[in-house]
Amino acid sequence: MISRYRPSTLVLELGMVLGAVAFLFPLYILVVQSFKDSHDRSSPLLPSLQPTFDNYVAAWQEAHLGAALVNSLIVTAVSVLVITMVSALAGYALARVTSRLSRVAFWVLMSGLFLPFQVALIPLYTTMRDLGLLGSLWSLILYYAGQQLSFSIFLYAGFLRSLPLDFEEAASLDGAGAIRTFWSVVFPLLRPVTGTVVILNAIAIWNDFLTPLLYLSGTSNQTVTIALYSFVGQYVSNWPLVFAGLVISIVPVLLVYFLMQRHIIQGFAGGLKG
Amino acid sequence: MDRRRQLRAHLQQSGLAAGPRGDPRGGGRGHGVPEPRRSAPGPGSEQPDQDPQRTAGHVLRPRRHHPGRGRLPVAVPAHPGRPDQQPAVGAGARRAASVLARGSDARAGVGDRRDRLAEPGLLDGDLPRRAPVDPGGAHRGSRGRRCGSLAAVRLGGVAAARPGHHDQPDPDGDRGPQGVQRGVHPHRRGTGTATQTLSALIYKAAFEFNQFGYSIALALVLAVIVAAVSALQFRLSARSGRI
Repeated sequence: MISRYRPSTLVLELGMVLGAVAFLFPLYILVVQSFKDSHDRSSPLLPSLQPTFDNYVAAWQEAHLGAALVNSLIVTAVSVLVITMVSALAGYALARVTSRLSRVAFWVLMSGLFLPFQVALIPLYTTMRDLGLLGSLWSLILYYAGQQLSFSIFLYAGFLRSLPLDFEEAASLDGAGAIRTFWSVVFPLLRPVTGTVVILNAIAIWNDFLTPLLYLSGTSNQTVTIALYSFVGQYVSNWPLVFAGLVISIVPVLLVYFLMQRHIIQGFAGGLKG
Repeated sequence: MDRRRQLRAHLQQSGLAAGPRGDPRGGGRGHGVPEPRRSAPGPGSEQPDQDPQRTAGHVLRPRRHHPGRGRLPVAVPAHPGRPDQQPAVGAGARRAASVLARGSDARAGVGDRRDRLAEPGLLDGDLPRRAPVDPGGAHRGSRGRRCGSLAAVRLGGVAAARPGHHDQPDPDGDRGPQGVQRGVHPHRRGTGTATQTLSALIYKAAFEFNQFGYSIALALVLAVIVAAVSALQFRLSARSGRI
């Protein structure tokens, strides 16, 4: 069947263009404002006639963005690693073991999906305080690992249930044990859903503001979101510095996206089919 | 140590000083540092509220974090419960509360309980970067300078921002030291609590008002609501054969 360009196609294209403009417009404002001087009173929609990089230098130095980026990177990487390992193993067991206890355990873990995080907000805070983890990056890693586990196990278990047992039976006939079968046979097959889990969790952890504010504020360990917030005052906010800091903070995310673009798209395309 | 001495001298000059250990005026840590909120008696306690550190239900405490960003004592709302029941809230929680207080919910006309809320900047111990608008000069101190923040007016007699004429006790219970009605900020507008969500209320109750039990109760109510909706969804899905 030969597709033809119809009037409805034009309408769809216009809709997509409008959607793209709606998404790109805030990014345009972000970049334009980051190059403006704080005393520049020109229209925020127009680029500055005298662009300056001073905002980037000031944002990097005053907010200690270098250390904040490293902290965010550590928290995100370790948390995603823990989430991926634990949820893949748990999902494998819950998908393959069909006993009554396994089903009960699955639904208990899934209860974390519909419980609002506010229920655990205060008990977790007091627990972290009593453990002496406030101000430490480990508090964030523990929090994220626990919080994101339910959703990740849900994704892994759903994907594993759609996988045929033939590969595992073949590995078992070759003499592989359960652990060896998982790492050598099953886990490579989970690459699409692993990509989905990594992307979703990494973005959520990198952009989180409330939890680092609660656990790390007032200490030298600050993530990017908290470091950028230091430019927002009660009466005066230095928006050019904020915008410059935001541009700096999205650079690592964009780099990771462009480097892994093919894997990310494949992961989203195949990981959510289940 | 030098910073503590400076703070102590500053507090003594302004009449807010805490005495040494054993001094009935305070000084629980023996360095002239005001007693932290955790050990300050609440309004419901048996001791009369005559401690100069506690005025209008607030406790002045020195800031311990962010050195260099502010050296003045911080006015924080005193916890109404017994001292041994008061949770110790860290700097992160205070900072988080200050963030949340910047939203529309902490604006004027939000009830009597909100009047006890310290201004976000004060709660965190920061003076505002720019003094608020005061065209009539009603909020100026005895030396003609500004009194730090309008939050001092909102607090009703608390010498929170800068020591001076706010040290005097409030003769009028409903009004601040300069006759400005409490809780009604002349420059604040917003939706008050009309747009407040339950999750925001949970957060504010815990980390702004230190009412952890009340906050957890609200969270459980939210959990029950979500569970009921989830059960309904499961039932409807099972009836339609999708599960």
